[in-house]
Amino acid sequence: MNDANANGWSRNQCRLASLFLVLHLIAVFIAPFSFETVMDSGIGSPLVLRIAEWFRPYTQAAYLHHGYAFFAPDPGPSHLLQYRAYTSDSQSPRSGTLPDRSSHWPRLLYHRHFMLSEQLHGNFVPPQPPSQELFDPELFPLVTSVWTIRRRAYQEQWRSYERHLKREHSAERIEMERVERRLIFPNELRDGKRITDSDLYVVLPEYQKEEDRP
Amino acid sequence: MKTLARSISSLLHDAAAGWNRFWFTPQEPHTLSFMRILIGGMLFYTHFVWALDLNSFLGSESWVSRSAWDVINADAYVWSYLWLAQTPVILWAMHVVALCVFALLTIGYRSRLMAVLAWFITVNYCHRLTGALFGLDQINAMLVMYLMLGANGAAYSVDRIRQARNTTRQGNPAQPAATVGTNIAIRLIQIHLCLVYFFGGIAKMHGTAWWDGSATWMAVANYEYQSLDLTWLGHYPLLTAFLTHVTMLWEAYYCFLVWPRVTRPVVLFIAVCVHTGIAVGLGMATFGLIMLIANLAFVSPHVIRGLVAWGRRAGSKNRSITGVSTT
Repeated sequence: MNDANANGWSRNQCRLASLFLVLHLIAVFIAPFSFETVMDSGIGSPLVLRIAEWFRPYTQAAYLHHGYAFFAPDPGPSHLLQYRAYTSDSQSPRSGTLPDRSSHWPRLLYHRHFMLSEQLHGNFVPPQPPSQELFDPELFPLVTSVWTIRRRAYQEQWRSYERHLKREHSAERIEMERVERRLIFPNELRDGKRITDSDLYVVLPEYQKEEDRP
Repeated sequence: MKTLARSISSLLHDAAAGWNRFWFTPQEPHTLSFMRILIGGMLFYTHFVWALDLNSFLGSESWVSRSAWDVINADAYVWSYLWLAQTPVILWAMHVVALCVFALLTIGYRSRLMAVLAWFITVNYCHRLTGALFGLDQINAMLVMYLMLGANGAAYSVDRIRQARNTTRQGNPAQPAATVGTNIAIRLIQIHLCLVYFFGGIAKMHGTAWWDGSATWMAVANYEYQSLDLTWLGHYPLLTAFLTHVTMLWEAYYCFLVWPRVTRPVVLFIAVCVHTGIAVGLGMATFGLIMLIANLAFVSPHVIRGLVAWGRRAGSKNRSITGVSTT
């Protein structure tokens, strides 16, 4: 500790700083670790999630609660949002896409709109509740509760986008659909297919019954 | 038994000494100060871009409304002062203040105070802008948080110029001092960056495309990301597989290989290649750049000082040549 003293910090200052450093390092380690342990159903390692929960007030408040999964687990297809805005005085609807290279500039603004569509898709939860046969009876109530929370969040986000577009276009009605642009394989490229071909767009199913509409 | 106890005691003593050396050895401020300019500039640009469509993202009629935000963030420990803006005028006033803080941080005026304010503002924007964020915002928030722990304005700043002027008047022009706070800030950036890469690598290992060599192709074949047409890579499967495997292994092992002096230049060179590729080819210049800025934490203050001095010499030489040729 003599070195530290020579550098102007007392032994107690070093001890206190060390305590904060250790706690902070556990917090920034446990946050991404907890993301890695959580499965699609929302169930994850009870140990890691318990520790992450202790630190969550700190990591969330300081915006440190992330998984850092860039282009992971696999770089996938992109997801866009297409919409049509129907106004009372117009015969044909105004249509648009998120993101849109022609109107969203500079590139960072384009990427912000891309994230709006990608994260809406990322938050998608099917309207049908999870099936009981697929889960451990003990875990099923938790799985159902996770589904309920996530579905409600998805619906709210969807409706919020609808409201925004309605106001932006002074529209009476908005139709939105999530669209996936499929990636092509290298052999398709060699056969002359291009990544901009229109047949790569797939409209994703949103709901099967009207009462399941977001 | 006594020998074992002595060995354990010696081991613990060495570990404590190593810990103190690692965290509490003063470091010169040139790396952190140089990073301050770049981080401040990036924060300014990031928030300047929000201003181009401020009401759509932050106004009362934003993409993510208050009611949606409340549901999405239910049970989360997040809040933002931006919700207090009830009118566009107040929102714009808040935004202009934020831009001023980032500009002052960049030039290094009252740097420590500006770093604290910049961190507070950045985190509040991140909390408010649910749904529109990505890796850039995570790294921005991380870097500015550590920036406020060290003497980020001790060099290359208005603060430094003012201090040098005062000390010269008193006949004692002092060099910027090495401090423990600066060392802690740099060490935390280094370790946090290692964790970012480590978990990034682990996440990739869950996938199949990073193992079968097709991930690079899948990234460049995505039109929405594309800013430079690299689809010609599809004709060279060995090259795309090589780039894929190098990226995943480099990311997963960065945290081990960046510390030894022998492997550090190689690891940092690959970082430059990967992030330049992302910046140029995948349309994320800001993300690529902020990751390169974060990697500067592994460059010693002596190297930064030498590079800045070289840049200044080259600049003044160019100016004098231009001056001669125009007269």
